[in-house]
Amino acid sequence: MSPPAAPLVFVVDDDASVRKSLARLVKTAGYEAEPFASVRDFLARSPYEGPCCLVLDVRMPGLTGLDLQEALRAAGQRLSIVFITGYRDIPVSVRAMKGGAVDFLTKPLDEGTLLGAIQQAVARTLADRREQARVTEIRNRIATLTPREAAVFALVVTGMLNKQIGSELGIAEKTVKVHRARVMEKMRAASLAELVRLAGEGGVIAAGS
Amino acid sequence: MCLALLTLLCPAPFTPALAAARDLVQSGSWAVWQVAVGGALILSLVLISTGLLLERAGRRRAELSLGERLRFETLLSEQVATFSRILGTDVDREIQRALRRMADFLAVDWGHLTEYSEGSQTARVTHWWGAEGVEPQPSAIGFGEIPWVVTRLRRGEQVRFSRVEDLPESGAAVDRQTYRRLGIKSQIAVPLTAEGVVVGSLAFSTVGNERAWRDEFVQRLHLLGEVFANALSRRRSEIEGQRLRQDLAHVGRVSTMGELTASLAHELNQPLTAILSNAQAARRILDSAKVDLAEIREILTDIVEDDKRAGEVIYRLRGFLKKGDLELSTLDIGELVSQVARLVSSDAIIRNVAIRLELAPGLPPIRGDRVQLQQVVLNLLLNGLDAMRESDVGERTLVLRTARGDGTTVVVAVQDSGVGIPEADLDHVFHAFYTTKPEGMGMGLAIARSIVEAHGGRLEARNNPEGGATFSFTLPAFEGGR
Repeated sequence: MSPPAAPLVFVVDDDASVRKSLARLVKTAGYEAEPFASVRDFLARSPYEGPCCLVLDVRMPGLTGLDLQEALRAAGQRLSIVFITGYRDIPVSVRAMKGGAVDFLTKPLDEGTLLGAIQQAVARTLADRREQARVTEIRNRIATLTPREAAVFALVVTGMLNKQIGSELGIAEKTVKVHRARVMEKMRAASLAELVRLAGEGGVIAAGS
Repeated sequence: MCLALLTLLCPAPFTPALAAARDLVQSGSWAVWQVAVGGALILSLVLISTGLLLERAGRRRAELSLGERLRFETLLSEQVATFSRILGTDVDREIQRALRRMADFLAVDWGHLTEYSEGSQTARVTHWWGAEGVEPQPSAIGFGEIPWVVTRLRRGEQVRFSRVEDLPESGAAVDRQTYRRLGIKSQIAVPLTAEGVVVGSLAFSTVGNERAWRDEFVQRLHLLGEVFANALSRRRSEIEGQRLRQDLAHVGRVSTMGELTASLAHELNQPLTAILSNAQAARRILDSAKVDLAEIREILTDIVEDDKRAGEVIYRLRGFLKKGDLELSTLDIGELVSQVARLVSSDAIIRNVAIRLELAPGLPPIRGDRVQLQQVVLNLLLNGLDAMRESDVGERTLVLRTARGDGTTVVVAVQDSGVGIPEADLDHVFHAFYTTKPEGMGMGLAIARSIVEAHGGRLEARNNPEGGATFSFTLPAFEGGR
């Protein structure tokens, strides 16, 4: 097996000197770097599955850094962003941070701060992706449930007893028990507590139908 | 003896008559009587002839004086015409020319204009003409060196002397001494007045010979002095106007700088960011186990390049803020326009405006002050950007165009796709303090128009049929440029 690849840092800045120098600096810190002159160029690249982050200029001709942040979120892509800017613009930085940016740094960039932020961003990307994978997995499990099992699942996690669920759904308590066992099995939950957690992570809300 | 006298006196045509008289004298006493009568006759003839001759000579002198006077009047009226139409910048040259022509006409050795300085109590020579081979006169004379003359001139009187001794011995002793020291034999001087105050003098002098000054010339010199004084005072007010315009332009530039600060900070920040990151990368490479010298060299090259780039930004900024005198040079309008477009490019990016340059090729050069004309273009561009603040992002286009105008002019136009100008306001957008911007001073367009007009051009505004406004100005082409 080849050694794990170094995390990849995407540098998007319309200024050629800036993106070249940043790519260079990032490489000296043990990362791989890929520079882009515009948001459009970056979006044309196929998504990267490995550990990575994005160092992104805020103000650029055409699409801005904030536009890219928005586009990534809309596409469900988990890629942590370190914003860099030549302007101390508080409203913009607030928007960027609310949008999930790891940091908002002002040019010229302090090496320690930048590399620290990049390290944090790579870690955040990985964590976000693990989280995303986990949610996907839970949703996949939920997708295997029959409509009846799903209904039982939704009521079980609200804390209702089998008997109450039976009367709610108009089925026998015994039948509820069978469905419940199938739900535990399909969701791979060892306990009610775990099932409740999975429901939360998977976004299952009590079915009010 | 009488005959001998007659012979001496008589011109050639009377010689036969004299010969006849001589014959009569030789023929006896009757003859003597006859001779006496004839002699008297001849004498009266001679006297009449001489009188006629003398009268003719006198008339010739009078006619000559009339011709001189005519020439003098012509010369003066030419000066009046010349000085009424020339520009302030040509005043010095024309005064110099006029001095030479007057001095030529009057056959004097020196002609000069002085300006009185109250501070230094001197009459400073501002314009001087000297005949060939004549030593130049001192560049200033203290009031104390010619107190009698200065006092008279400052009272609005003329001063005229045919020889230094004409100056009063008691009152003008110092003046006499000074003129002798300077070698001046005769002089005529008239005061120059501006708004009723004597500000200097116009004088013509001889150094070789003493000479008389005709009354009519003296009278006319007053007129010439007035013409000169008017031209000089007009030039002074033109210079003041120009200074005011420059001050205004400077104010305009400084306030424009405020608006531009953000984008210029950005322009400086980019190379500084690159320099810092490169330097940090180089340090990390040097700290690493395997030093890649080729990489280090490349980094240093990039650092040098970015440093130059930062320097250029500062240089441009400084050139822009410079409060200089009007510096006329031959300029390529396309180049000038592109430079300004570059200056606002980052500002345009921030505002999501696309600037499109449409430069006509092969335009003739123009002549003007680079910085001031840049100021005009910059003002128009910034106005265009501001006008599109409310426009849809996709429609924010600013077209910067150069073209050949009517006749021998070039045209620069800035076309925006903004809100346009309310028809009612089209007439006074160029007035000082007219503004639609909350933070604006309303000086930009007023300054721009005064600069364009100072260059002999016109600045106009109109609304585009498809929306937005176009500001355009013409500048005369400089066809004499090499």
